[in-house]
Amino acid sequence: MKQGEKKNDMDIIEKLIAEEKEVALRRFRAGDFSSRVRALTQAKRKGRSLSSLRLRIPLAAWGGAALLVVLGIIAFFIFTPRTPQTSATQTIENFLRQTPAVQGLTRSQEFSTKEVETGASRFKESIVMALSSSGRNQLSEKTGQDKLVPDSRSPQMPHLDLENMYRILIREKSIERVLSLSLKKLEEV
Amino acid sequence: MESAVFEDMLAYQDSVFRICLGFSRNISDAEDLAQEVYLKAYRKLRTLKNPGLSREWLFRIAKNTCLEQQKTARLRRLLLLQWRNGSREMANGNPEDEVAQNEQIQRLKRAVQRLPKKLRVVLVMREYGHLSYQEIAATMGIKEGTVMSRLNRARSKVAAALQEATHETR
Repeated sequence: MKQGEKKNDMDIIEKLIAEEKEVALRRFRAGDFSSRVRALTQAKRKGRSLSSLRLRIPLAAWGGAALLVVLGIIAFFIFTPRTPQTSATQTIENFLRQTPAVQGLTRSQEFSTKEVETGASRFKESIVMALSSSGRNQLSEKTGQDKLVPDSRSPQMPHLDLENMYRILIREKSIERVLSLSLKKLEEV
Repeated sequence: MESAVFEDMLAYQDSVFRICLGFSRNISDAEDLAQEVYLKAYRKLRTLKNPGLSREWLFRIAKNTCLEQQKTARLRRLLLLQWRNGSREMANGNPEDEVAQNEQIQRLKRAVQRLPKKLRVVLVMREYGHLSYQEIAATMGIKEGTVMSRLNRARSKVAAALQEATHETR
């Protein structure tokens, strides 16, 4: 009895499954499954080849860029002179320059050199002035104007006799010679 | 070579579809699953060492794909169920499909779904996929005797579930 019931149940199950399969297969076969799958696999294949191509281009670009960077680094090391000692000296020098004692020393040096320069230039100016004034005197002598004749408008000018005047002129001439010589020397320097 | 093997595999599309039908809830799901099975097979074609066993290999992919899909679907349903606060509509799937199909087939489907995984796979392979005991054993990596015993248990459980459902409706 139980066996019969069990067989009946199996028959029902099989019948139900067969019914379900029949309906489903009819619909499935109408859909042209093969061509759909083929189209999908074709698309996948194309996508795969395209993606591999896309992968290859950036790889080449990255490789080229990396090579350029490496070459640049090598060139930098080859062409840049290695002066670690100079740079060390420069560092010490800069440090010492910043110390207050050295700064004071350099300031005083600058001041003294300025002073020397201004002294020399003043000396030079005075020589040039003296020479030019003597030149003017010579010119007045040539033109016949007696410059040594006291001007009535200048009351400070003392009255001199001819002997004293000559004495002064001789001194002036010798001074002029010394000054012109010293000027030459200065210009040479 | 590979494309030739794949073309040979396309000849088993009815069997693959039937297996997918046995695991899935409706025809459109089964079609989608069958398509996924073939795409997976295409992607993994290089791993097929023995082209002579391509049939079993394809059915194994079909079984694994369906089980994975069931797991995902169950999880999704559970999450949706929690989100919708136990909506009955979501728990039972798409109502339109259920109306369209025979009520008894739906009961059978539910009974198959409730089977333990080991029994369900054997039953679907045999009843839906029309696979021989030997093929099922090769696909699942078990002995033929085990296939037979599991198939027996699965049938008994489905029959019991169907009877129970019939009593409930009366």
